[in-house]
Amino acid sequence: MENDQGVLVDLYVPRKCAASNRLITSKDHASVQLSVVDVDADGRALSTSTSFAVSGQVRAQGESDDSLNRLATKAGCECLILYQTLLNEKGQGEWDKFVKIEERPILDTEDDDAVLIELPVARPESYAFSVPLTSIYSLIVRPPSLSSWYGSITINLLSGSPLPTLNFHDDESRSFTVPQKPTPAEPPPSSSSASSSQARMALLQSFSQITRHAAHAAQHILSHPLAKPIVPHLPDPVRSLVNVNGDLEWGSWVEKGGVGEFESARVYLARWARIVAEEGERSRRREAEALPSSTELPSEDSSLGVFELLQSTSNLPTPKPTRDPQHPITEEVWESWFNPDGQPTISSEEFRREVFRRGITPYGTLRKRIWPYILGVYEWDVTEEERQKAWEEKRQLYHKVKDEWWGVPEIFDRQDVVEERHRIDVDCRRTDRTQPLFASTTPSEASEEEKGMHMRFSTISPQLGDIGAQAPTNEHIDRLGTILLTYNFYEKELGYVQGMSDLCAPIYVVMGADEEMTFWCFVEVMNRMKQNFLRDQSGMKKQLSTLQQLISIMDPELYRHLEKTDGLNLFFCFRWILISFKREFPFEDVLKIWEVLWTNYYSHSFVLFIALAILESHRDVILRYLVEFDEILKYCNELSMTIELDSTLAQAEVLFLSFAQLAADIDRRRAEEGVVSSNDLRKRNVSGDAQSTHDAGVEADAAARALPSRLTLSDDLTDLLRC
Amino acid sequence: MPEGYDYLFKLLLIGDSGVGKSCLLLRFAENSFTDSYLSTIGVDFKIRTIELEGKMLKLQIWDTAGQERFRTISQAYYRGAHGIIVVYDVTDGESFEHVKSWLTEITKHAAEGVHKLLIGNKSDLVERKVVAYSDAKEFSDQNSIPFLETSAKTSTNVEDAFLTLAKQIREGVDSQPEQTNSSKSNTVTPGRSLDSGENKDGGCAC
Repeated sequence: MENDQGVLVDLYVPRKCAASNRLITSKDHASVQLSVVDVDADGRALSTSTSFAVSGQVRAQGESDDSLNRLATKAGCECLILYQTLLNEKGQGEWDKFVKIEERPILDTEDDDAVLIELPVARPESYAFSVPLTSIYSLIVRPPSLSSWYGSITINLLSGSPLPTLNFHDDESRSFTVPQKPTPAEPPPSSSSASSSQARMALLQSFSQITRHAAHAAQHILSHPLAKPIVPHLPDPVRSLVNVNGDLEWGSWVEKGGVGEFESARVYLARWARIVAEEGERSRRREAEALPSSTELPSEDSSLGVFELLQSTSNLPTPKPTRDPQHPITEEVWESWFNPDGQPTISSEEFRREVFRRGITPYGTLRKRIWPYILGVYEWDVTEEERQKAWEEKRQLYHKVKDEWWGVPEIFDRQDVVEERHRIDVDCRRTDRTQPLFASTTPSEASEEEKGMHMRFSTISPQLGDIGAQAPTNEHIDRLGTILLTYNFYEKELGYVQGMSDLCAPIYVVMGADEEMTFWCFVEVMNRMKQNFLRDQSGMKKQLSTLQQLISIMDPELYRHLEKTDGLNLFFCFRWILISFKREFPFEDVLKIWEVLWTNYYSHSFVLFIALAILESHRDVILRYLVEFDEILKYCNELSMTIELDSTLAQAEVLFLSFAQLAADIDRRRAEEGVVSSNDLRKRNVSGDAQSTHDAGVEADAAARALPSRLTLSDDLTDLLRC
Repeated sequence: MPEGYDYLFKLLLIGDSGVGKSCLLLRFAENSFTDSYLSTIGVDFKIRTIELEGKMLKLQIWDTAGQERFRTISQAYYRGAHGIIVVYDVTDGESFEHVKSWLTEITKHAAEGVHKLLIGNKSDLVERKVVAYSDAKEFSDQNSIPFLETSAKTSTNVEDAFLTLAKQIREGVDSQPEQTNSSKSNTVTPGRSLDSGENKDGGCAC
C-alpha cells in the first residue's frame, strides 16, 4: 500500500524484540511496545520518541525489567527504571535529590554541589550489617569494566573500620534492587517546575508496572522460602487493633464456605515450588561459600541460611542467631560445671543459655542426667547431697500417689478410672512404637507372684478383648500407662488427654525406662504445658490467638492472606503447639527441640516463635499457591518430617529477637512522642510562635506516620517477653 | 470452575478414639492399611473422587480426634459437613455405647437434615467381636440411619460404606434442583443445600 508520503510500503511491518532480536509475530499478544518521549534541555516533551519493543517471550521470563534497563541506558536515559521504586522506599528526601538531578542539564556534571544519592539498603547474602548514615565517610562505586566483571560498592566509615565490599553479581543484583513487595508509588513532588520530570517519572513507572508482574512471578518460584526475607512491617494500625482482642472463632470459616473447592493440584504445585526453591537455595549456599567475601567474615555460619529480617519502620540491626548446635554439651563440659560436692559453678541462667544454644550430645546418657536439671526436677544451686535428699522425697511421693490406685480394687475398678485406663491404654499402644523399648511385644520376665499382681493392676488391659482390638503391648508400654494414670491421680483436674502419651513416651525412652524419674520429668513438662490440655480448650485458644497476634505484627501480609482464606483460627498449627512439634520432627530432633523449649531461655512461649518460623519459611508458597483454608491445612499437615530443625530454631531465635526489638522500639517511640507532643504544647502555650508550632507538628506527624502511636502490644504479646 | 468433578461433598468421621477412623479413611482414600497407627491430633482430611451414576463426586473426608476434650474443634466441622459417619469398634462394647452421645453431638452441632451413616469397624476380628450385628442393626433402624459393618484391614464394605453415604447426599441434592445450579459451580456448599434457615450466622458466603 501507499503511505501518506506516497511511498509504497508493506502493509505489515514485522518488528523485532529490542532485547532478544527475536521476531515479534502477529500472534505474540504478550508483546509490548513502549515509546519514551524525547525531551529538550528544559525537560519539555519533543515530538520525537524512542521506542522499545519487547517480545512476549522475554516478558514471560520476567526479563523485561532488566532488558529495558539495559536498553534505556544504552539509548541515553540516565535513570534506571527500578530506581524509582527504591526512591519510594527511601522517601521524600531522595525524591528531592532525584528531581534535582533530573532538572539539571546533563552538562552540569562538574558542579561541585554534588548530589549524593543514598545507597539502596544492601541486603547481602551471607551477612548483614547496618551503620548509621552519619558514620559514613565516603562511597567508592566501581562500575563493571573489562577488568572486573562485576560492579561493586565500598562503604568507608569515619572510624576507618572496613565494611565488606558489596559485589553486585549479575544474577544477584536484581534481588538487591527489586523491592520485595511493590510499594505504592508516592505522589511525585509537586513543585511547579517539576512537571516535566513528573511526566518522565510516570512513564518510567509505567515501565516497571508492566514488567513487574512477570518478574515477580519468576522471582517467587526461584527464590527460596527460607532465604526470602521476612519483612516485618507494622500492620495497619486499625486492623491490628481490631483483631488483637477478637476471640478466635472456632466455627465460622466452615459456614463461610471456607472448605472450598480443594484443588489438590495447587498443593502439589506448592510442594513442587518448595522443592525447586530448596534446590536453588542449596546451590546458592554453595556459591556463597565459594565467594571470598563470605570468608572475610568467619563468624558467620553460612550453613544456617539467610535471615533477611528487615524492619521497615525502624533501622534496627538485624538480630543474629546465637545457637551453636554443632557443639553440643558433652560429658566433659557438663562435669566441668560442678564442684566436687556437686554444687554448680555456673549460674542457672548460664546453664539454661548453654542448653538453649548448644543442646545436649545425643551420645551416651547425658540427656538422662541433664534433663532433670533443665526441667527443675533437680534443684540447680544445691549440693549433690541436698539434691539427693530432695529426690528421695519425690520418689516416695510418687509411690504414695501411685498406691492410691495400684493394688486398690475399689479405686482401680471404679467406672471413671476404668474409662480413664481405657483412654490411656488405647493411646499408649500406638505411641512411638518404632522406639526399641516400645517395639517388642514379648512378655516381661518377672516372678509369678509379681506377675499376677502386675496383671491385676496393669493400666494396659491384659486381655486384648477387654478394650477392643488394639496393637499388642509390652512391659514398657504398660509402665508408660502406669505413669500416665498416676499423673491422673497427682493432677486431679486434668484427666488423661490425647497427646499426653506423646509427651511422656520420649521422656521414658531418654530416662532409660526409669519410672519415677519419667514421672517427675513429665510432671514438670506438664507444668509448662498444662494449659494446652484444659477441659474447655481455653489454653489452646489463647495460644493460637497469641500466635495470630504475633503474625499480625511480624508479617501483616501473611496475616491478611490468612484472613482472606478464613485461616485465622490457625487450626493447622494446633498439633504443632499442643504437643510441641512431637509429630513434626523425627524422634531425635524432637528431643533437641524440647530441651531448647524447656530452658525458657528467651520466652516461656518460644514454641510460638518456632511455629512462626515454620510459617515464615513457607510464607511465599502459602501466599502464592494456597488460597483456601483446607489447602493450607493440608500443606501444613504434610510438612511433618520435612522441616529442617537447626535452621528453623535459628530463625525462631531471630524472630524472637526482632520481636523483642520491635517491642522495645514501640516503647521508646511512644515515650519520645510523649516528649514531642508536650514540647508542642509548651511552644503553643508559651511563645505562641506559629512557625515553631507548625514545625513541631510536622515532626510529630512524621513520627506518627513512621509508627502509629496507637500501636501497642497486647497483654498476650507482652507476655511473650517473659521467660 | 472445578475440574474433573460435578459435586463436592464433605464428609466427617467421628467416634471414640481407637475405633479406626483414620484407618477407614486411609483404606478408602489410598487403599492401604497399617496396624501401627498414630492417634489423630487436630484435624486432617483426605480426598477421593468417585463416579456415581455418571457423575463425578469429589469426596473430601475430614478425620478428627476421638477424645471428648477435642470436640470443641471437631464441632467446627460439623456444620460444614454434608454427611457424617459415626464409627464404633465391634470388639469394643464401650465404643458402641457411646454412639448415642455422638448422635446427640450431631443433632446439636450439624446442619439439620445432614446425612448420617453408622459403621461398626474391625469386623474381621470375628472371635473378639462383642457387639452383635443384630443389636447394631436394630439400633440403626430405630434411628433410621443406614448401617454397615466394615473392616479397614481387609477392606470389607469400606467402599460400600462411603458410596452409600455419597449416594444419599446425591439424592438429597437432586431433590432440590433449583439450588444446585444457583451458584458458579455444581459444588454444593454447606449452608446452601442442607441449611434450612436455622443457621443464624448467615450461611454461605459464596
